[in-house]
Amino acid sequence: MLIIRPIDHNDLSALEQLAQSAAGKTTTLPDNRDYLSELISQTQLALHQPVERAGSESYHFVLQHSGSDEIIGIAGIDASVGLKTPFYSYRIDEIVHASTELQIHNRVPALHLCQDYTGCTRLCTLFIKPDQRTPQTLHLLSRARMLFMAPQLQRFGRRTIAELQGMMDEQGRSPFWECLGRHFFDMEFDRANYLTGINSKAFIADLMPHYPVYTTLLSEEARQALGQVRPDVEEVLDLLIDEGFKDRGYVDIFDAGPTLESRTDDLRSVYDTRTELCQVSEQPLTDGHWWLVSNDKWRDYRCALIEGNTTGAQLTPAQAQQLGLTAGDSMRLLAMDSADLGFLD
Amino acid sequence: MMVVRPIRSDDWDALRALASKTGPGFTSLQDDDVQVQAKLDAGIAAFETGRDPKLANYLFALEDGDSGQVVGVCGVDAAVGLDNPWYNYRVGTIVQASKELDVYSKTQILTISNDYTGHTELCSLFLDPDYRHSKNGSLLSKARFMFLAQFAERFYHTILAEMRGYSDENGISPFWEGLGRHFFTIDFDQADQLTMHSKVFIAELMPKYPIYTNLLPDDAVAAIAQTHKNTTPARRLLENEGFRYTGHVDIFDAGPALEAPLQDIRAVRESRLVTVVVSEEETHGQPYLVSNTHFANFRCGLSALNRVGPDRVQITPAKAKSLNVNTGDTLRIVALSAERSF
Repeated sequence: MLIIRPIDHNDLSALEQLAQSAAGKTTTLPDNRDYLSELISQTQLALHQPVERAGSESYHFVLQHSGSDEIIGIAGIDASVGLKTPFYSYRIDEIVHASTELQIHNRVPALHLCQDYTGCTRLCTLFIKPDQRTPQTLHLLSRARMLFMAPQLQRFGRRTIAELQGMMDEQGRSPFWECLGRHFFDMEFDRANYLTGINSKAFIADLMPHYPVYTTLLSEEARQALGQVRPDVEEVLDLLIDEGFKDRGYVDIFDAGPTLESRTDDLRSVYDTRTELCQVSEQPLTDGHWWLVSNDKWRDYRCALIEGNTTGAQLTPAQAQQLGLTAGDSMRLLAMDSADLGFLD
Repeated sequence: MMVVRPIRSDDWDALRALASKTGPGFTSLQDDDVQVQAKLDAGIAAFETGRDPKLANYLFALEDGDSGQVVGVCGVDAAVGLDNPWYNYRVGTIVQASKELDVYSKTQILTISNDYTGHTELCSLFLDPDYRHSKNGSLLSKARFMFLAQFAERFYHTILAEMRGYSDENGISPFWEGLGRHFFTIDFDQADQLTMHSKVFIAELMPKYPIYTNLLPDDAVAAIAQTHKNTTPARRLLENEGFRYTGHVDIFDAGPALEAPLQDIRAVRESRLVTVVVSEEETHGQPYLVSNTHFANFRCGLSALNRVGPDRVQITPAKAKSLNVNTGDTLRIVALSAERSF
C-alpha cells in the first residue's frame, strides 16, 4: 500500500538517495545534505508552530510503500513565496504599437520581470523515482498536498501556484536559457538551477534582465519554448488543469516553463472533498471506484488511494492502521477518476 | 567665386533639381515636391526678423558666382525636438555581477532618449556630384560654423550632427533588420521616408523599453555607431573640427550622432574678426573661410588673404563683391582646415 506522510528527521539518508536519483531535474530537490536537512527541519517546525496567516513555512511529504524505509517520492508546499527573498516570474504581456495614420497595429509580446506571485502558496518539489512513477503515485503524491491544505486554508495563501518545467532539447539544454539567461551570466542551466534550488534564486534573479524583453528579439527556439512544458511533465500539467489551475501567461525566468495559478479554495482537491466518519470492515465493498482518503490530521497527516464503491470507501483494518484512523474518526475523501489512475474498465 | 548664402524663393528650381539627386537615405531632402517646398519656405522664414530663433530652420545655398547656378545646400536647425519628439538610442552599459556566484557580465543596452531635445543640428548637406572638387564640400559644410560663430546667441550651446548609418552593398541596414523591422513590418526605406513627413509615428511604433543588444543578431550589433561609407569623409571633416561621438545613435540605422560644444568647434574658436581692405593686388597663401557679418545677407566663401596690418586683411574686388563687403567693413576669417592652421 502506498502512503503519504510528512517528512521527518529519520528520513534524511533516504531523502539523499532520492535527491541523487533526481540528478538536478527538480529545482527544489538539489543533492545537498545541508539543504535537505533544513527542508526536514522546516517541515517539522511548520507542523509544530501556530500560524495565523501564511508565512515562510514549508511542508514536505514523502511517498512510501507501507512497511518499507525507502522513499519513492517527495512533494512540497511553500505556504507563501517571496517573503524572505523576492519571487520572480516573467509575465508575458502584449505591448500595442499602433498608428492610426499609417494603419499599423502591431502587438509585440514582451516578458516583464515581476513579483506578482508574492504571497501565493506554491506546490513544489514533486519528484517520484523514475521506476516507481505511475499514474497512481503521481496523483496520490500531487493531490495529497491539497487534501492536506483543505482543512487548514487559513495557513495558506489565497492563491496557489505551481511551476512546471520548461522545454529542453535532446541534449538537456533549455533553448530559452541559452537565448536569454546565458547572456547575462555565463553559467550552465544546471548550475543556475542548482543554485536556485539552494535558495540563491534571488541572487540569480538580480542578474537577470530587469527591463522587459521583447519576445520578437528572441531566437525562434526560445520563443517556441515560452510557456511550454517538457514532454515528460505533460501528465502533471493535465492533473493541475483538472484541479482547476489556469495559465495566466506567467513563465519561469530561467526555462520559461509555465506557472499555473488557482484560487486556493477553487482547487478541486479542496472544494470537491467531503469529510465523513471512518468505517472499518474486514471486507469492504469495492466496485472499481477509487478514492483519495486522508485522515484530516495535521502533524500525523496520512493519505492513501483506496478502492471503494460509488458512495465512498470503507477501510480494511490494515488500511485504517496505515492511515492512523480508527472507526468513527473523521476522514476526508476525494473521488478519483479510474481512467486517470490508469485503471481501465 | 563659390559663395554660400541664405536660400531665396527663386532657388526653387535649383533646390528641386538637387532634391532629385539625393537618393534614398537622405531623409532631409527627398525627391518630393511637398518636402522641398516646406524646406524652402522654412529656410526663407528663418532669415526673416521678428521670429523665434529657436524655431528657425536655416537653409543655405552654394552658388557658383560665375554662372549664378545653385549647386549645393546645407542647413542648420536651431533646435530639434520642440515640435515633435526627437529620438535617439543612448548606448549604455549594464553590469550584472555577483561575487557569491562568481558571475560578471557586461551588457550593452540601448535606451530610447530625447536627450538632444533643444540642440542645434547641422543638417541637409548636399552637393551636386559635378561640384565635388576644389574644397567645395568643405566650404559648404564649414560655412555654417562661421554663421554659428557670428550668431551664437541664436543657437544651443551644443551642436549635433547625425551621420548616416552602415548599410551593406545591397543597401540593407543590418540594424534595421535586426531591430526596427520587428516593430514596423515595413522596409527601411519606407520607414525612413515616412519620417520625413511625420516623425510622430516613430514614437507610436518603436520599442519603448530598453533593448539588450546581446539579444540582437551579431551584424546588427556590429553596425551600432558605424557610419555609412559614403558619409565617412563627412564624419572625418566634423571630427577634425572637434565633433565627437558620445554614445547616441539613430533609432533606425544606428548611425552615430556627433556633437560638439559650439564654442569648441575649431572654426568657431579660431575664427576672428578683421577689417577688410579691397584692392586689386592678388592674394597669396592658404585658403581661409571668409564671411561677412550680416544675418539675412550672410555670405561665406574661400579666399587667400594678404595681411596688411594688425587685424586688417586685403581681398580682391571680385571677392569683396561676392561677399557683399567694402573696405572698412568687418570680415570673419579662419583657416579652412585645422592642419593648415598658422
